[in-house]
Amino acid sequence: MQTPLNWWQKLIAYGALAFVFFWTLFGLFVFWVYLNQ
Amino acid sequence: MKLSDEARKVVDTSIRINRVSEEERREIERLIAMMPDDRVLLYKNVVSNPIGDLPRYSIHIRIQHMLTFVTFLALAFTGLPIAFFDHVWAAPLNAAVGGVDISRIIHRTLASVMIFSMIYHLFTITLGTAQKIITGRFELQRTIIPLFKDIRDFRDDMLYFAGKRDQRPEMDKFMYKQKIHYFAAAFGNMVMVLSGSSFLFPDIWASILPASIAPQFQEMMRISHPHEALLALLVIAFWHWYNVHLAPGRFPMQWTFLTGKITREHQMEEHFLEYLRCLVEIPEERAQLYDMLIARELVQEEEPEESPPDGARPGIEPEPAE
Repeated sequence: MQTPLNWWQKLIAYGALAFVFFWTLFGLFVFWVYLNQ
Repeated sequence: MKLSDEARKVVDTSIRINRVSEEERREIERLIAMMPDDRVLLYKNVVSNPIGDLPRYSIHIRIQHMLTFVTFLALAFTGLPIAFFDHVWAAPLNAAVGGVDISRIIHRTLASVMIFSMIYHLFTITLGTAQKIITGRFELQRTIIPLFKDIRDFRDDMLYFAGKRDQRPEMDKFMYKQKIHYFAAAFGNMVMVLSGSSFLFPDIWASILPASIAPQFQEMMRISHPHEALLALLVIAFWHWYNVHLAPGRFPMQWTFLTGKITREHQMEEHFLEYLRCLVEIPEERAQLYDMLIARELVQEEEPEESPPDGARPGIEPEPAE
């Protein structure tokens, strides 16, 4: 059981997660273009 | 809790290395005896601070991770559009950093920072290990060096995930997955440095290598550099980021790379042997665990032979003699 994150911890954690998500999305897009080239 | 042979060895070694007093040793043993055999009960009930409770990485390792992490992403962002310059997606990315010529300079500068981070890491692990050996605190099981136990742990963990085991194996500070990941990253780094240096200094490589293989070597390096980069990017995106962001218990982010601390819950689940060392080394952690065991009524009754000599413990009937 983990104690809840406070606002700035949430900001960092979910910000990092969003970064990871968009980078992965970009990677998948590039890979898709690469395969269809 | 009745400790396994491995766990017993870890506790005894840690007690010896830390020169724990007899009184503290008794306290540790009493606490271990109180712990339930089912470790799942421990990590499901313990209260953790998500940004970390127990020490794991030194400031040096955190700086190295940060340097590698930032340079890796920036290197991929500048390098892949150079390698795949004729692809439709590469042109806007190259243009975004001021064209291929600028991108190349940024790429090489970042590469030198990443190489610095590698050298820094080599210094840290060499000097850190030397210091531990000199002070008598070195434990092979506590390092990232792969051991036969890791193969056993991998098998047992797979059996646990398949529902054939009740508990995950008792793993050490670095589990099998982390060891594979670490050496894959080290190998990848070496490939990238070697191939990158062959682009930058072809003359030097040509003078070192026999003339018969120098052109093939260059060609091999030219192929391996972008493809190793692509492989590394996929590993980071689909394996590392899953483990540190999306895996149950880690969501939305594992804070160890910033704080150098691991949560109590995570330590108990995936690094139980290291948790036992924490119990020996950190008195506050013993108090924390004791309070949790009492509050959650998880105290395991002591074995009859460990009871006081007269066996008179209130509320417990002595076992019938066979």
